Amino acid sequence: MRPNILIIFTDQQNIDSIAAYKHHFSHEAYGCHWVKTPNLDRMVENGYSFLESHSCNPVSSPARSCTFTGRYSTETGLTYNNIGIDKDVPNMGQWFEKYSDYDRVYCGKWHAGGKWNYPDIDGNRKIPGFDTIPVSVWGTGDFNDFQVSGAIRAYIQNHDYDKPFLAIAGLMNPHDICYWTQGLWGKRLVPDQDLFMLGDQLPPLPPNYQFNFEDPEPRSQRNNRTKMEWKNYIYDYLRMIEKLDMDLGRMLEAVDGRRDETLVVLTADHGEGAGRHRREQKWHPFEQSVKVPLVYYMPGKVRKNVFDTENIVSQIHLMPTLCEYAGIPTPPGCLAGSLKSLIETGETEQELDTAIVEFKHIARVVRYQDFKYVKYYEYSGEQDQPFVRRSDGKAEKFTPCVGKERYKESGRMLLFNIREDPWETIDLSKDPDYATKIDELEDVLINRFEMVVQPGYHYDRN
Amino acid sequence: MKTSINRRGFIRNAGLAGMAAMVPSHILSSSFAPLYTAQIDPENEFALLKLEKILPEYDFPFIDAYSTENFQLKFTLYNLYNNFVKLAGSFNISKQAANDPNFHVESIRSSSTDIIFETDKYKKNFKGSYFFTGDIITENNMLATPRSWLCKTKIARTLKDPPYMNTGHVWRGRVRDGKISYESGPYYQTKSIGERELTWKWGIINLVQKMAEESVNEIHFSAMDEMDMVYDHQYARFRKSKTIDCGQRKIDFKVFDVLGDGIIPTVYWVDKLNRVVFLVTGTEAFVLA
Repeated sequence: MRPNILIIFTDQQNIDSIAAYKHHFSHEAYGCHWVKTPNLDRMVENGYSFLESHSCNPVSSPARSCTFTGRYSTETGLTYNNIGIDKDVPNMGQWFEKYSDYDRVYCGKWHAGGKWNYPDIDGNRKIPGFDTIPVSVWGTGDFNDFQVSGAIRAYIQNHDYDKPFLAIAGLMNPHDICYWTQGLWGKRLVPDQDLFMLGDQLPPLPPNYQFNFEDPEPRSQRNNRTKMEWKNYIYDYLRMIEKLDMDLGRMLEAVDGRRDETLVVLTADHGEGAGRHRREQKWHPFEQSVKVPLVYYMPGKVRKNVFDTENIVSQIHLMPTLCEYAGIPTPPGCLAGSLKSLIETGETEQELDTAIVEFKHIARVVRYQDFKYVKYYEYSGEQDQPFVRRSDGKAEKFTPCVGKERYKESGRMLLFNIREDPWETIDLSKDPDYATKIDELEDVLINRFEMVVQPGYHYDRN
Repeated sequence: MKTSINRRGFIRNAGLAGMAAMVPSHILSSSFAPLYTAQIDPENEFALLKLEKILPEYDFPFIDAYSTENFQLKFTLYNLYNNFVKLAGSFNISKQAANDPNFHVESIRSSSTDIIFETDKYKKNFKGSYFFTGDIITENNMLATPRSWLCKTKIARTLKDPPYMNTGHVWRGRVRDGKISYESGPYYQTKSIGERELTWKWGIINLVQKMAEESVNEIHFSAMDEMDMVYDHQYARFRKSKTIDCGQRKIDFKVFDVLGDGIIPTVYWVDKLNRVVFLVTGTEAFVLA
């Protein structure tokens, strides 16, 4: 019996932002100690959590393209925001349309195709493969998310039992934190004042607050923000998590009310800086940016209350997993395997010890066993947006990669032992004792994942 | 594209262009000078920074008398982010308190101007909105603790049109014996009301009006979001009284903060009639029409 599938896709959610993870993320500065998430907790306690789950490219569009195709962004062509997925790389909706009779519906933020960010623009290429429920004009979670969760709840409750559905809820929150400085409560005149008199309700600053490694991508650095501003920033961020918890609860209740089985997956496009390394948002290779929640939930089938800290997975595992549940083939080109056996029995024949994270043209990140290696490249195209020529602020013309010269090595690198140094405060790359380890990780990157360093691929979006 | 506002103040058939056309040009202008910044007391008026593009030409709705027991409020809803102020819908709430207080809520949030195509299955040029209507009967207390309610949501072209793609949802709720029961078609659920006395997201408008009227400084509660999910440990707190320039007139306000779990810090501005005029939260502002 094929289950229904509901993907709850959040935006910019830290993996440690779920209260039920307190015992794993034991340091008091982790978000889980300062947030109440009864609905996420219920999903975690009755589901299978991957605590070594990675974004394949920690920015919105590329990460979404990886999640919904099972391919790296150098393969989907979405190496930066607001580019379309290559037409030869099928998204989940198109693949399910071709090989299954699933009803497919998408509601909320998509941001992984064409010139549009949201399904509200005239044209004939919106979200191929999906029926789309129209919300999300304005682009904030405050405004949109209860519409998305309300519409998906109704869709689930009203859906017939004659055939299964694949429903995706693209929530905006906690991405609203991106508007903190100008649009939320960051627009203040007295930076050091506790304007809402929150006192001890404000969370502590993270222990790596003062650590900031030199990085060619300065976009997310906020060196001038005061401690009080950071505390308020993190406080507001965690309230956004609680708001998305209500949205998740609304949809989870609808699933639980059905007589048939529904596989629910919670994940996110990327994480959030939350003051760690003096960073906000994403755009950086550190754990708070590249780790994302990943929870599978289907009571009676998926193992419950599992906190998997050993197996290293990433967004490209989702597509093959859902294909196996739907009883359809995995699209050609997908490197990752299905996690179905693992989440149902605890057994897998796959060696889940590696995750690759692309980071625009700037860097590649290899997480291999206990270590994380960041390899930097020099800018070789237009600053910031080397792959896209823009006109009037819209992606207009895509410039294909031209090979290795776009990936000229800069010689900069970082190396962390993530198991021993989860806050990434000690760069081991200059330590001669770790030269062999760097060679080992370099070999993983170059020889096992060549496609992420040598695209050489012509993308076609017509 | 025809854009209109019906007699209830609801925006109809307003796509992106239509909505934009309804907003005064000074609101849309990104170069608009922040007139209020120099006048704002930094300790207490920071919430007004979020309204600085709206207030200078705001047509303050003067009335002679107002009752917190029987009222009708119509708000214009703005979406605020990255220095943008966008007209984004409307929100109406009314209360009648002859015996058991009875609230009626109508909310419209603008939705897509168009929807997908490619097959006959899709409707072109869908210009719809997210509609919420609710009738809530409450206890006769400051929190307007909900006793029973009937709510409807849908995405549709207009309030009268059928819902788009299975998005219609109707549910009844009731509070009994410390539990909320929730019923929607064949669905039936119960859940805890939380540790504190219960109110509801829009009941907080009533609450701060009553706090202003009765000079209450702080009150703690649980609250229902969208009349279904419950969050505990929220509170409303009087911040201070303040007179501000508002549409070229000086208006006296009492200012309240609403804080706690599951809520982005929110500031309510209540005038001397004990009427909520502004509600400013994370990326949204409600402005009394």
